[in-house]
Amino acid sequence: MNCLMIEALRRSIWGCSMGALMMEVLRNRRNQSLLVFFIALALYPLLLVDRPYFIWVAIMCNFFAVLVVNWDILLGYGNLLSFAHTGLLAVGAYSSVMLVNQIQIPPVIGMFSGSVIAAAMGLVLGWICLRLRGIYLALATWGFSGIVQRILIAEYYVTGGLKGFPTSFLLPVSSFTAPIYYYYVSLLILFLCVLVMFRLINSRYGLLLTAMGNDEEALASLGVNVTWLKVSLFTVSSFWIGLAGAFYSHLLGYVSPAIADFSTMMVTVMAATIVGGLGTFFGPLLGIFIIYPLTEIIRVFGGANQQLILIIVILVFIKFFRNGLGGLVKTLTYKRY
Amino acid sequence: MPMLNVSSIDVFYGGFKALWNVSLTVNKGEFVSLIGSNGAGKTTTLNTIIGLLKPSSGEIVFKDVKISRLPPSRIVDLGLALVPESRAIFPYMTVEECLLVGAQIRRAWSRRMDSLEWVYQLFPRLRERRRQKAGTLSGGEQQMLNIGRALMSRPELLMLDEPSIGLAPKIVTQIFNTLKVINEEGVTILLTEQHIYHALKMSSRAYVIETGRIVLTGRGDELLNDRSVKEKYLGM
Repeated sequence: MNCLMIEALRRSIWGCSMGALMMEVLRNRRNQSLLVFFIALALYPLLLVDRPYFIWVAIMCNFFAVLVVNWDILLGYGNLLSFAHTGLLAVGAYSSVMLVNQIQIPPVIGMFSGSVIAAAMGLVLGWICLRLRGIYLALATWGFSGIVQRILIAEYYVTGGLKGFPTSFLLPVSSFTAPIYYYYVSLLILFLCVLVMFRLINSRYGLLLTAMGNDEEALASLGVNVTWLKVSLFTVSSFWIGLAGAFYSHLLGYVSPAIADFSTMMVTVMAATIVGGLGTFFGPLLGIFIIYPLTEIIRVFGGANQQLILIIVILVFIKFFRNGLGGLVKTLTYKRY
Repeated sequence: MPMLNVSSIDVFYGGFKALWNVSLTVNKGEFVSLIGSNGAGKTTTLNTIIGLLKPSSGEIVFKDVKISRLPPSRIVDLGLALVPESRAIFPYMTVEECLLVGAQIRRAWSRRMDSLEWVYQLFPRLRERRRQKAGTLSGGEQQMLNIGRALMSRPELLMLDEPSIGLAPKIVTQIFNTLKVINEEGVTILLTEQHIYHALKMSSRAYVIETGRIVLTGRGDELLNDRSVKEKYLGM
């Protein structure tokens, strides 16, 4: 009896300790590769410290990676085609900037309030777009983004119009003198986002989400509250998008309606997700580290041609490699049971 | 006190009256079937019980709880499950994932591993195919998955909407035999059928529904020998 109790006690202490938890987490292949990926991301800018341009590219990669992860979860898992990203980015960015400029709160707090406001916006948008599916959801959310951008331009006495307005930097140092600090902030945001979303899709919630993407009516007939699923997913992803938007404005120390520009923001996100492979989580995450540097390389051809090349890449992948790079890896490592 | 008591419900689809004063009861442990031809109101009855449709009058009581105004999620929580007629499986998920989706309600989630083992025992075929995508299964296997998924919520009353539809006769016999086993393990069953012969042979009681009205009720073997049933449904 005594022996058993000691054994149970020992086990429970071991079970609760961080070490055991870490071991448990690291036993999973997917978690291992995620960790390796983030260690690589944390180390490689150290090689580029004296080359600020590359650091800037790396920061932008992290910023876009947050958007891409959320787009992949909405479309690849939940089968919800949403173009609300650019609108929500602007909501997060402008609300953070206005709070910081007008009531002088620190940018870090402004950033989180901005993302909370974006999440609230996502909640409302989710409720409104609830009954829409497929292309209709895409149109409604696209309309939302368009309306947000129009308002930002037209209501110039509140939003500063096309010029936008300057704001304070996130950190005491400017991102133009010391971009490396901003790199680590962006990496932290990406890490938190990936951590939360990865846990989410590997949980019971993720199982239901995948089921919803497969067949919404079937899931509803099993007694699952599909409405709640959709709205909560919209809200959570809007939070991260708002955070990314707010970070972006405090990174540049400036905000303008360009943040809500569909062709520069959304096309990059779409290209990365499709090249990486929809619904594979890791694929799009890696995809953006290919696509964003590519957009930098082809920048010399001018804005319009840059979009054109990205769209050609999207079309080629949809036509010939429907499952993207992630799908290719899946096919190659497919085990027969 | 019956487990499920449907008392004189009327159901409308817009202006069209689909069910007229339908009453039926199911006692604990019974195997009850609801038989009738196409468009008689079988599916409507089951969909109303599970809460997808609301009756305009009358009430439905399940285990002393009035469920006619509750949403489907609450009704499933109480221990009712429906196997829908269209085999609405999740084609890109594996068989095991599909089954786990069925166990999503709190009460069933903690027992999901036991339930999984139970379903695999009832349908060994599903165990063989558990890592296969559900969309690649044959019709019979999909129906097994459909039934298994409903069982994962650990229902006390399992309702099946025409489990035999579009299946080979051999598979139909197999599925009915499994239903018998499920019933013997303590799950009450209410099913609708057009395969009158199989359904009536298995059932303790049956109801005959015609153009939205219950026209006949009795023990399964009684109805099987009933002249009007023989004429209408068995072509004898």
